[in-house]
Amino acid sequence: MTNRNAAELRTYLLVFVALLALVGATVGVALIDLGPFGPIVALLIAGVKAGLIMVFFMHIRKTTKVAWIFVALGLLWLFIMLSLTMADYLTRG
Amino acid sequence: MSDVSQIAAEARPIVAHHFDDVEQQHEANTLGMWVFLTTEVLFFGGTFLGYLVFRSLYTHAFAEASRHLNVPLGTANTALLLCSSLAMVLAVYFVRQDRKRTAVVLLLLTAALGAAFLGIKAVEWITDWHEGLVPGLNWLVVGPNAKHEELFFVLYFTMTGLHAIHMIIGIAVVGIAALVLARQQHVARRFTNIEMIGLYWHFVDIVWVFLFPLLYLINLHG
Repeated sequence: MTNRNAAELRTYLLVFVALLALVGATVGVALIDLGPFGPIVALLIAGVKAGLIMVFFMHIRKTTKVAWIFVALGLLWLFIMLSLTMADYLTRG
Repeated sequence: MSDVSQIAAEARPIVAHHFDDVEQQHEANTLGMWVFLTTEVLFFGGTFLGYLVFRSLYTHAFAEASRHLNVPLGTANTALLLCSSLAMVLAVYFVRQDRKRTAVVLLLLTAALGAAFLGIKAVEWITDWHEGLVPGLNWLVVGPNAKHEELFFVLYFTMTGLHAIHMIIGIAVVGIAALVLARQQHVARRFTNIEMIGLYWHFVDIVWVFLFPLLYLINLHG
């Protein structure tokens, strides 16, 4: 086994351990009263986990520019859908 | 499979006729898979939008309803799915290395961990039924917020149900892939196929990563 292969396997294991630690963190944070920041912190942790999975398990860095555009667009449309709808609901009298 | 068809399968060109080379085919497959996953993001996005709107309107009822869920089981399931994702990414790695036996075992492990996830989910759903937490069919919660708690459980069953359907499809595809690989001489030829299955599997894992805190972990304190 070459060094590069060993490094790749080690990366997978490290990312896996980090993901498990973040599961512990998200449960731990839920036990503390953070007021309105509770859901925000929970979603931030989930976002970091999703990012780790996309970068290291789904190898998004190795994909083509066109694939990148589609991933970015998917997230952009999702953002527009969630943010504009919530902007409406949260500002109703 | 007869010997002749075995040879025919092995001899079949690895590049489909409408592609120039392996690399172009791999890029096209990867792009197609990400386009599909983008539509999936928006598909699940609709349910997340409904969840956000109603949680912002009925914050207190959603927190009350969430406490009916079993956090240890939800946490265990999150860990199980992350283990399955590790097994999947290692399967892709060993397919690329042409290590057939390891790759097949890892794919079977991925499917088994996914099945264990569904098993725990089934136990939770059955418990929900016995506790009268199933909207419309067996809803026994009373109180001033009962209607809005029912709404939480409508979203809970919709979101976890849609996720479970994706898991069932994933387990079937990963299981079939393991059987197909087991019959190949050179599994590295199937690298693109297995990597695409991996993308789908990781995506379903990511959906759960968001479902878990949103459904199970609302205001555990106090």
